[in-house]
Amino acid sequence: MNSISAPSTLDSLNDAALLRLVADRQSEALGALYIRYAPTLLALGKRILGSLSDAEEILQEVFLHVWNNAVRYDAGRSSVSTWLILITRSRAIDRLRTRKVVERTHETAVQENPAEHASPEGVETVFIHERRERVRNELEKLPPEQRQVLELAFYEGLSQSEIATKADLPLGTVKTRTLLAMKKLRGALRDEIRQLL
Amino acid sequence: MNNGDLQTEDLTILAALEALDRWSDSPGGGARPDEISESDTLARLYTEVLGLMPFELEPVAPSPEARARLLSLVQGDETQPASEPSRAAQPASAPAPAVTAVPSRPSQEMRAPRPVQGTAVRRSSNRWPLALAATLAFLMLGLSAWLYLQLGEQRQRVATLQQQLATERARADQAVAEARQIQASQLDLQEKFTLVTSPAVSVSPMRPAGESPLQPGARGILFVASNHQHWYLTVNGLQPAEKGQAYKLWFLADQGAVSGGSFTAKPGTPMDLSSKHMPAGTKGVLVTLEEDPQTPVPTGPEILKAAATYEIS
Repeated sequence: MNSISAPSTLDSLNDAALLRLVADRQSEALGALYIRYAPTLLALGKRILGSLSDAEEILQEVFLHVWNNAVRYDAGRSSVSTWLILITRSRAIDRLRTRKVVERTHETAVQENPAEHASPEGVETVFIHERRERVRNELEKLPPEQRQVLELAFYEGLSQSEIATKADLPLGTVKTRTLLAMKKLRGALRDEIRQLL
Repeated sequence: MNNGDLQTEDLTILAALEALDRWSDSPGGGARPDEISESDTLARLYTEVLGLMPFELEPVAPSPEARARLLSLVQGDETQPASEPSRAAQPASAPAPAVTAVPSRPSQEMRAPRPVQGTAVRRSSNRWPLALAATLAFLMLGLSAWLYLQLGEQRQRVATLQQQLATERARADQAVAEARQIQASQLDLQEKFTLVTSPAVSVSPMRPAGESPLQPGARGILFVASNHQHWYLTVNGLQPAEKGQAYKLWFLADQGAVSGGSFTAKPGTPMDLSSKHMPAGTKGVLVTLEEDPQTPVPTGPEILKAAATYEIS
């Protein structure tokens, strides 16, 4: 964490309120949402695609999609953060699947490891920091084999059958591990989920 | 395991995982609120579980240029201000009224009298001083009237200027007062900024207290300086307290709960509190809603409680 700035009015707004302002075509609200979630979404894109430059392109696409589709956001279906994350995941996995096999080995270390940019921390960002700590703790508590199937499903977009093939496991075992992991996470993260609902 | 062994919850989980791939195709396709079933609620819960997963990843800060690029893209796309109305055609200038020369005809009365010979010449020489005196008197009268009018105008102008001076002085006093207020507020903000950006500041997120919180939308952040004395609290989402009630901040210290002050809440406005003193041995912070704002101990329901403390360095 780099620095903290005094919270501004937009910083103190919750995600849904910010998204309403985005739907009203207020670019500052989109900027605030970007500050809040871009680091997480960029990390997700990079985790799926393995390339920061591709992840940055996806990030730009996602926020343009949010700008153009904020009015279509359905709060009954997911929280704003989950909406953003699932759009990012979906786009990144689409790109992963359709990407031609081009080895980008020439990418320099500078591209992959850019300098840290100081980003101000708003009030809501502190809550995201707290959320990150909790999620990390709970995922670390999962047995490695359960965590593995969950990660293959989420970050690589593999179906249960594909995971079974890739991990050389019976399909039933994959399903059991997935279900156990999901139920454990649901119980362990109930406070976080309650905040999102 | 086959599908026959699976319970409803298990099927919901697997369906939620499968639905991830269709996510971007139907962004607004949720069920209507009156149609939400138990399995929809369960699916929503597991979707949120999946949505939390990427928070485990180490965040990657995007470059400031990326944000600037995005904002420049969308700023051109904001609701365009109403285009400048086309200037109305200037009305054709009316032709200048033609100046009609009125031929002046010398009146009969103005005609010079014919000179009369003899006595008439003498009478004329006697009237001359009288005529001069009358002309002078007429001129003096005219001058006096003009001066009187000028004096009236000057008095009116002086009165207007005095009024303007009084208005400007009042405005200047107000500006000075506002400048002082801004200066004080700037100092206050600077102090808060120094606190929240100082090294080793502790940050305690305050969340709704209890299993069934009274105000689930309320949140707060407490920043405590490294000297454990200077603190700054920002709270938002609190419902306005009813008449006679007040929110109270409590420091949970070694000697028990110590009041940190009371405050009210306005909807949609974050509430900021700060002080340079904090009780020794403070281990937690609590916000309660009190019937009696002067109460020395917390008696009302707990609204917000600090869940954990993070050291920011």
